[in-house]
Amino acid sequence: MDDRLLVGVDVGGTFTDCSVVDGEGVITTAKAPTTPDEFSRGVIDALTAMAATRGTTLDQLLARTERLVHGNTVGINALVTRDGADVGLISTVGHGEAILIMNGGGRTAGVPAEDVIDYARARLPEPFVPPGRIVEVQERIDSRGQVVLPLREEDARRAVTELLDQGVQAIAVSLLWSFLNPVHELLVKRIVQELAPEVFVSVSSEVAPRAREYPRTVATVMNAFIGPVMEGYVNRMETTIAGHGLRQGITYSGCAGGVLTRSMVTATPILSLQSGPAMGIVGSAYLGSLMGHRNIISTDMGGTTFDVGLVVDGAPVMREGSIIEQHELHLPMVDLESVGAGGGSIAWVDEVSGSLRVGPQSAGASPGPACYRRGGTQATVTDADVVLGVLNPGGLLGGRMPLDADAARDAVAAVAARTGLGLHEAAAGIRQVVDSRMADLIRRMTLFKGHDPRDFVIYSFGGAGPSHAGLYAQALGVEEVVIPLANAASVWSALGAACADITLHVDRGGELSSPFAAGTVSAALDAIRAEAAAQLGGHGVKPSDQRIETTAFMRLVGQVFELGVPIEVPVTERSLDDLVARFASAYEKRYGEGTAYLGAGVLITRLRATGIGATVKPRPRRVEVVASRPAPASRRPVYWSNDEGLVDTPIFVGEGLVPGAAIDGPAVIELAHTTIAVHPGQRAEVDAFGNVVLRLGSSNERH
Amino acid sequence: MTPETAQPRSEDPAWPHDGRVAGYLPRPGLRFDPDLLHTDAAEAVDPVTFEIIRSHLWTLNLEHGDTIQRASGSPTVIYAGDFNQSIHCEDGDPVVLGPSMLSFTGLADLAIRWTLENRAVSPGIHDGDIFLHNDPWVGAGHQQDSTVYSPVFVDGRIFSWVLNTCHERDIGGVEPGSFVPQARDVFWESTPVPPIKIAQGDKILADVEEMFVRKSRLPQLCTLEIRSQIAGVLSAKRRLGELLDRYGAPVVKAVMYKVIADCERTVRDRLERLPDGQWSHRAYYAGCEPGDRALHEQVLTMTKAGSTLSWDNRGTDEQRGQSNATTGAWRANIVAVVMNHLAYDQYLCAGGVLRVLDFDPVPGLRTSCTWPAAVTGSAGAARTTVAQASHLLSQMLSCDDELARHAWGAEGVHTIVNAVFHGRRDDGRSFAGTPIDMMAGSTGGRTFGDGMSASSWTTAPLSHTADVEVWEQNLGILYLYRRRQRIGGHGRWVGGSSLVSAYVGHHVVEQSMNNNTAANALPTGPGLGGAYPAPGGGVFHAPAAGVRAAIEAGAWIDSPESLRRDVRAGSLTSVLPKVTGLPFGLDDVCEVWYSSAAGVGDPVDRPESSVVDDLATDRITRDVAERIYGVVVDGAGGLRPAETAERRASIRRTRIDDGRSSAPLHRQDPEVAAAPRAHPLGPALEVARAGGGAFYRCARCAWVVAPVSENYKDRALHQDVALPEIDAALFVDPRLQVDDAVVCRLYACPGCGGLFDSEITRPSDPPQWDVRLG
Repeated sequence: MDDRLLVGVDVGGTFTDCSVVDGEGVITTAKAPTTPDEFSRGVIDALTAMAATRGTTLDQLLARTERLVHGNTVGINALVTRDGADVGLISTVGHGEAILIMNGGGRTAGVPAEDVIDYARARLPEPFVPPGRIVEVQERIDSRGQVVLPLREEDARRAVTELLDQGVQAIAVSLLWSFLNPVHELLVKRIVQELAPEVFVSVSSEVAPRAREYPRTVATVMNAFIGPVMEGYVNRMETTIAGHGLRQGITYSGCAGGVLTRSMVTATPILSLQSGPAMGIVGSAYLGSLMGHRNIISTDMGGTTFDVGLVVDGAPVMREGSIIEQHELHLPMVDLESVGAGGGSIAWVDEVSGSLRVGPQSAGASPGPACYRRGGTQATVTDADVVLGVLNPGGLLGGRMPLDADAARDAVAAVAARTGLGLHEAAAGIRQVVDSRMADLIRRMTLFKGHDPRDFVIYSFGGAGPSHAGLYAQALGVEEVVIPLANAASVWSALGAACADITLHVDRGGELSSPFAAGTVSAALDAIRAEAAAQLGGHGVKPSDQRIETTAFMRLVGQVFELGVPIEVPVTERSLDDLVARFASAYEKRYGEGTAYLGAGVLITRLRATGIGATVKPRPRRVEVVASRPAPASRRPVYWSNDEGLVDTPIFVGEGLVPGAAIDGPAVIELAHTTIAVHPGQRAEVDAFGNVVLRLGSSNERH
Repeated sequence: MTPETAQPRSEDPAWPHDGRVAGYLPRPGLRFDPDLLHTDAAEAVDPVTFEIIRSHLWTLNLEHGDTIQRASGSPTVIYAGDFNQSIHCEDGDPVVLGPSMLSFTGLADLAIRWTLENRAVSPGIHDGDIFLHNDPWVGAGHQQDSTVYSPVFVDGRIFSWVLNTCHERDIGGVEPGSFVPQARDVFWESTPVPPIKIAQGDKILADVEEMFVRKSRLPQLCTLEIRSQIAGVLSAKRRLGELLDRYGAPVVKAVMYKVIADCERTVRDRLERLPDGQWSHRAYYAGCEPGDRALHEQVLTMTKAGSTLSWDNRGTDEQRGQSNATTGAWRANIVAVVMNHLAYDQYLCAGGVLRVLDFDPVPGLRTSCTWPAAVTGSAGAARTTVAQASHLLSQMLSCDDELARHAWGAEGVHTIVNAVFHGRRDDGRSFAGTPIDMMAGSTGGRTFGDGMSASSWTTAPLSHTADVEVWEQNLGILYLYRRRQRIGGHGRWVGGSSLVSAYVGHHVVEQSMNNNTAANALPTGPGLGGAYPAPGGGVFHAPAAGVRAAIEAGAWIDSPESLRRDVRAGSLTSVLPKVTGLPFGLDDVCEVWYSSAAGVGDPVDRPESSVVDDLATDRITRDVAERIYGVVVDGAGGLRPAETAERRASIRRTRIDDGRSSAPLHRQDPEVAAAPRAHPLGPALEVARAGGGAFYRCARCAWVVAPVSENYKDRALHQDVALPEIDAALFVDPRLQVDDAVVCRLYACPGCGGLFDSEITRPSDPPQWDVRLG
């Protein structure tokens, strides 16, 4: 790619991050504050900052850009603030309330387990479509896809007109069993397009063609809710960027591990929800492929949350649904879990037990930790790290962000006084409690999904991550922690986006019972493969860049869990027997030995073709490794544990470390956007790519 | 009951609650060798270590639940959430339970304690043993609730226990699904299995496992479910073992003890802010077996003294038919409700709650039935117990302005309403089950706002139903509609509404339905502080309804109104309790109204704007708005303020003019009327002290109702109203199901006509003395 640049821009809660990989594999990073009133301004600011970092102009930067991948939070922001389109919903007669009934689970969906019995605090979420804008049409299809009551065109027309008369900006159509037989939904769609081509239309058999009408309807309605917002944003973004000379179209981060073209993100904007963290996992998988790591626990500790995703056998672990704003929805996405534990998490003392707790409340970026001197007075994890000396009391970001160490001390001292602990003991306690919560989340994501964390490498990014990873890794028995590409760790989602392929899914519902007929399966696969290829072509992907993978989603009769199993073409009776065997084996790996009771029968619930359009990938520069023992830039006392107390600790500056450099703990490595804590007994090494690798070795208590 | 199964007696007359004849309750003191138990605990644990271990215990217990869900894959577990798991101290005291079916917690400690008392000598309790039981008299809701548990040993002694319970889809008995509505005694049902070892050395004993699952129509799935439970127990033991390795048994034990003690202290502090007294509630039920039209009574009484709550069931009728609950099930549901109302922020620590509770049931009654009563329908008695306990606690909590936030009207499904379908599909598959739309539930009005519709159960917060498409795929039905009922119980803050669903047979060659419901025309969900009772729901059946012909003609029956309008004339009837074998083919319709939640406060005090909104969204009719809420609107639905004010005044005046009191009205004393309020007593009443006495006083107009030593209801004005007259759309006429007359009685203030309370009663009964302040 010579002098061409791969550019990733990712909008986060506080900062909009930008990363550039050039033809030599050199990575540059830059940031600008996020501008929630108009996200595109922050994007331009970040790109401008990047241009300045590289000593060029915005227009020159964009002129050299081969790909610009953009992750944004436009969709989730609209959902959380309920600031989206006025949506109307067309549903099956008798079932218009499905999205309001929420199967009865809406009161507690997504609520932390410890809070679910507190009825005084309980609430049902605000609906995304008010009851007055739900219209039922006279139609019915049954569980075999057979039409029980045909939809008459005049009924459909009347329903659409009724919504248009209410001034809706978007129409969602979600009818029972439409994923088996979309004929009625497509009729309604055609009428909307005919009567009001400017109105955004979202159809359940296209957005989420899977069984279970409640999560399918939510996906369809949320898609409609954010559709016009996303369309407007993308139009503004592309116009602005084009004005600065970008020659290629922008691609957009998706939540299912791939990137989306403009037409994909505007037609199905829900595919962009949670795309930032998802791209982080994609980035981890890609870096892992270069480093030979096939099993990765990808962790991101920021100001308010700790996000975890897994890479297993080289691929991000996926899931098929999510809960957003207490609503359950069908959405294929990278499996991410989050817990309220970050640098801004507030330490507090439980009045009754006297115990020291941390989070989930967070001081966030504003007022922020006490040491930021932005009005925060409560002790946070960051304050504890300052008191302990893990974070430089003199300031972060190479001194560009001064810290008030006295304020941190005062805040932690207040916690210490209420727990009867000393100042440093309390600060160390805050660290232990938060690290323990993070380790618990990782345990839940690994051990209880059939994985042993000791078979994994932890990748740690996010501003607060590398100063904590050494401890939670230790608690899990993990031996190696990678702080990826050092200075890129804090813009990891932006970089991950630049590693992703264009990805689209074509799902076809229709329950098939074992024994499966090869002819039936084969015909269905052919149809969705052709559809996926056609869609890729429609997005401008050349046949030579196309790859199509097929998956059968299967479950056991009488059981609820569905698992995706790769299915190859051509399909034969024998390969179908093998499919069942592979399903059984995957099922037992995931759900436990003896759980795959095949005697009850096996079902294929749907088939999926994943169309992949290969993109140009960044190739981080690999540098020759020369063993070295760098000299510390300074020393300061750091409180590593209650046993040792304050230890005079060497402090290294990350920018001066070259591949092959090795540092034994205790030590602290200060980078531009983060700080790495190397605990006693641990060792940090810089590898050929510039990653800092923590080796836990003897410090690991599980060994 | 036949003579061959005449009632045996417990071996120890001094303590009848032995778990063999009467339901088990542990008697004070240890009845087994205390050397079995590992009780060493560190004297103090620092606040950091405490927090880390507490959090680990919480997480590992959630993981225990995850493991069961993953390995079982059962819809009953995943959708209905009909399972739970817990960690216990060495003697069975529960430290933490999971957030699923809360009522299992008050059974878990019973199973462990019974096992310690009855299995320590023979066959002995050893490291690596895993026990299994589903005996309602030992501690299970009904035989479907199989319980798997194991001791965790340290240094040869029992350090703790981990336990889980799951509802099995079929465990035998004469009806598929194991609910036997027509059962006369337990011998019609699955045979209960008292605690046995299912594993030794953490290895499954094949003979025991096969014996257990042999009873089931679905032995392979039953095996899978039992194994998922064993996997859950093993995972919890493994993680607890890691915690013990790391911190040492005495430190972990100290944390467990402290978690319980902290919860206990919190609950006691709350109780000590409230006045002492005794609260009781009488509910009426019928339909214990097919053809039972007699009126029976279920009574629950709660006595608060200092920081202790004692519960008894005196006044309840004797066990009968199928919907009896054992003592354990009764106790367990009370424990769950107390957790909801008083320990809502205590990380589900049941141990601290149990310490403030005493139970004193009389064996042999509906809520404390003795062997061999039929019990698979125990949820009937148990759900009414939930409604009663919640009502008593809500009344008590509303004696404190702040704690009143944790008071609410009875939640939905206070009366079990449940139709079960079984048959064969045209693809050859047999099925039996119910679409569990009941689990969508609804929750009561609160003291500060309306209840929530389709919001599950507070005692099973993660439970819900599944999608229409799931049930249509798995059973032989097609839904005509599934909606929220328009409104729950009327009140200032209304109750949430449960679902109403209508089904027609589809893709079946044969199918019939059973009505597991008792006499749901008798509502068992009381309103709080002047709110009306919650509706009891109903099951309707229309054979040869003409639905298919209507569909052919292009007309879909899409609502309860259209069902009543369009179905073949006369075919729709209210199904009597416990009727089995009704035809349910391709043109037969079944419509089920799941019982809704109750509200809080006098409906006439409901904000006018809320009533206008209720009308605009079709939750109530104009007739109800005017009669019940006293709100008058114009043709466009806009409020007519002057007429509304007049209408509301008129309703209150009528309550005074037409009401009668059981005792002479209290002579008004200006000194008492002007005395400062001692504490509130719900939204409508308060207690004032003056001249050395304490008096009930109207919170609205300061009318002095009665001295607190008396039943204030005797000196309030009451009117009896027929239930369908309140709202014919919500209440089934009780005369369809019971022979005795039953009415709703409203108690109003003689001074201002504001409502104090409502109750379901026989017209001939005197006012219930349900509040006695200490």
